Amino acid sequence: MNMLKIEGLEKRFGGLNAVSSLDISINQGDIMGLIGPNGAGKTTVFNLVTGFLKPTMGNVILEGQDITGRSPHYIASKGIARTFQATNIFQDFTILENIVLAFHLNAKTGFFSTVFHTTGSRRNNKEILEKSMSILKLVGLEKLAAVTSGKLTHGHKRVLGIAIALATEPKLLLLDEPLGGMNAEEVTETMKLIDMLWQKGITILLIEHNMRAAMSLCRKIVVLNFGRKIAEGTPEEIKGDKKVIQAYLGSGDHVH
Amino acid sequence: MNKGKAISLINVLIITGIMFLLPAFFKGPYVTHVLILTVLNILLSTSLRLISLAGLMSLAHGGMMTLGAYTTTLLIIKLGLSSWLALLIGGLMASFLAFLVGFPFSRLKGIYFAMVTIFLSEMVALSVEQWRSLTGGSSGIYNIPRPDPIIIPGILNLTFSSKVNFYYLICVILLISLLILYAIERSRIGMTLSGIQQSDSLSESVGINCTGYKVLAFSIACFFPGIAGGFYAQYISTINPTTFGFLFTIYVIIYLVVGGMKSFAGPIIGAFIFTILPEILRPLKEFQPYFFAGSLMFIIFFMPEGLVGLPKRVVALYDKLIDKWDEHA
Amino acid sequence: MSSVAFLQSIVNGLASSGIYICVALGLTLVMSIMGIVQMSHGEIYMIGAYCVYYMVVHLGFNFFLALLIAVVFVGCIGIFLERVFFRPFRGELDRAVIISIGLILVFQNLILSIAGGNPRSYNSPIKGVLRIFGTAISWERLFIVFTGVLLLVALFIFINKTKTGQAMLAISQDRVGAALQGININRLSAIAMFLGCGLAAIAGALVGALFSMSPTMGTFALMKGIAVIVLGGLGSISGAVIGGLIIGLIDGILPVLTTSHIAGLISFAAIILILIFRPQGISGHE
Repeated sequence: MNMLKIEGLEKRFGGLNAVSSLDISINQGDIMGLIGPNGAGKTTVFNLVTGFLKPTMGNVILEGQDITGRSPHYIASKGIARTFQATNIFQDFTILENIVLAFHLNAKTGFFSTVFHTTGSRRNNKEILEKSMSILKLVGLEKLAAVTSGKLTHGHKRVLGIAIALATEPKLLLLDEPLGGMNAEEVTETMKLIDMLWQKGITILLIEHNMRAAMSLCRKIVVLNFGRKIAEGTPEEIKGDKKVIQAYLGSGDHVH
Repeated sequence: MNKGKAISLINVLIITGIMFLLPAFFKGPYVTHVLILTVLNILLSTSLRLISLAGLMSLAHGGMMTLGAYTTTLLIIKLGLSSWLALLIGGLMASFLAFLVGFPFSRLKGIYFAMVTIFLSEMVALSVEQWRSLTGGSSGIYNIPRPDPIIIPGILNLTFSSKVNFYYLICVILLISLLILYAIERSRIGMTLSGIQQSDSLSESVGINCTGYKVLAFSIACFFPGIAGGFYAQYISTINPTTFGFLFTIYVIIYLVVGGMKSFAGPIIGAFIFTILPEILRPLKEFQPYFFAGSLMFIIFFMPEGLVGLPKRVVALYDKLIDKWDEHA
Repeated sequence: MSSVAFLQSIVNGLASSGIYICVALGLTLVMSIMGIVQMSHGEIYMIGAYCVYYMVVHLGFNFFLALLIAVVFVGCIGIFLERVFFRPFRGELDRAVIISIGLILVFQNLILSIAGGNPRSYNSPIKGVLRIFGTAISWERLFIVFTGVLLLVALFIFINKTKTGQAMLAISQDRVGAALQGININRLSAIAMFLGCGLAAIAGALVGALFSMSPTMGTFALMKGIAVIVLGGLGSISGAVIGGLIIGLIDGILPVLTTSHIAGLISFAAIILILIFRPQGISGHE
């Protein structure tokens, strides 16, 4: 079943085309990698899909429903969650509070029920607390639940970012360089986490500069350069693709 | 959501008790007037804080007071409405204006939001001034009647012929307002606003409608200066378009920032100190603006968390001095 | 309405535009280089007015000499403000804006205590009228229009033909990127404050000389400056010009067309509409 279809997507900034004529199709249960040299437009694609940017042309279709140009919070409510390239967490909140807030879509948010702490909202709060703790257990952060998230190590912050995205109980998870800035041990742990999430049935689209990780995790790869798709296929096919090698050599990026 | 200790019920009751007993010790029209202004300023600064929780800085409070004052006054004088109903509608009118402009305003970045709220305040004053047939223009409105007496047969016969009863009225209004503001802040809504203030983009990505929440905070928060304006009109019995001008709004900001934006008690402390102190230092009234500006600068430079952070700082300083003493001993 | 009155109202409108554009340009310069809304910009305008007044009336200086001295003096005040109050908070815009709010109190009360709260005016250095198309247009208004155009041309040359100007353009478009390219933000912030405050001083001095002044005249200037910037475009120089022209002309022409003074409200409505449909203003890019 088709999860996400990107058709003819284009984003123009002034005279520059950040993304052009992009067609990508992701099926339910896929784990797809989006790679390409720096500036290829990968994060722009994420922003376009999740509503942070409006495309100049083209469509984004989620499970048959056109979500092109809708607001980010609407798209989140439809089942797409994302992480950010630059670490993005609620700095002043504890880890647990981060997740509790991230369960917004699950929460009773009516004015009277929350402000007056009705029975319904209290039960709801308890549910959310339990669900939050189980997410923290899943990602391995439960021991740090009471720590103010601004004080975490870089690696923990990035994992927290993934946990926050999970709280929206997404069908499709967009991970923007989740391994960025992590040491070898953190990379291994996070790769296990991503694989586990995929096994649980979440469709995943992954941007990663760590080529080894991308190739080992993903079943399909799409390669972008200068905003256009230059190759698509399995990791083996991509590794040998001349255009891909050209793109990376030409840009000075290292393919490891 | 549970940042810091919950303000204990006992403390609240003690403070409420003190507030209501004050007039027994501090008598006289002048002192009562100062007390009334203090409570009024607390109402203004705490409601301003609700907006800042969402990460926005609003300079519209003056305009909201003007709108509330004129709405209440005109409803009473021209339509003969009950003063209590008129007061409520005055507050709702301010909320409504905030709601109307909230959506376009909230899409702007923080500093630009501040700019357009200044502009909004000015537009309210200008509209009042220009609509001469309704509002009397720049000369204002005089002889605004006092609030309708509260009569509960057999128990209560409260008229507002003396200032003291105005004081009790504004105390009641403040307590109800603080209750509402506190409840909002400790609820999930308060947590959501705080999340929005920390990261707009992250909040959106988890399904939070940032603009919607900002408008909500702005609309609710502007209810209180609206009510304050309506109250003030009936208390002083005259108003004009410039009573609550730009400078007035600046003072409210000072109460909030100097008191401390990050804690619920901050604006209360700020408003209290900066209303009482100028009255104690009456002879130096000329220097009052410099004192205010100076305090503001001092806080921004050296104590950004506000005066609420003073106890912690004093303790930290004391500890440091003790350590130095130990070193030399 | 007669065409004569219409012509007069257009000139009045253009004169208003000139002042508003001058104020707004100064505000925009500071805003795009330093990232803050310098709330005491109106007070700077007011100080310019009083400086020139003092020099002309009490020291007997020639108006234009006084104007020049005032611009330099106020510009230097701007550099001082940048160094002491705004540079420490370069990354923290909220705190910088609050500081500028504090400055409003300081400046207003300084002038209030020195010069008293009563509005003042003095004999305009520019007298007479121009007789054209069967009507008389005061040279004062025309002078403001000429000055406005002159300043615009000067600014245009500065931004497009000098290295400093180009550097400022770069910063206004991308503060971080410009810093990475080695552009000296300190120096340029100081220059931006000098120019911005200087422009405000010119506008204030002109208004003070040709109309009247009071210690609270700055609030009006700030409001108009904000209105122009929001309408014309945040961070855009051409936007400040367009916005200033629109609002100035509305203020000049509308009171003549309609007997009720709803010009200000129309400006406001225009701004609300712009904010709804095009939040970045007519030609803004923030």
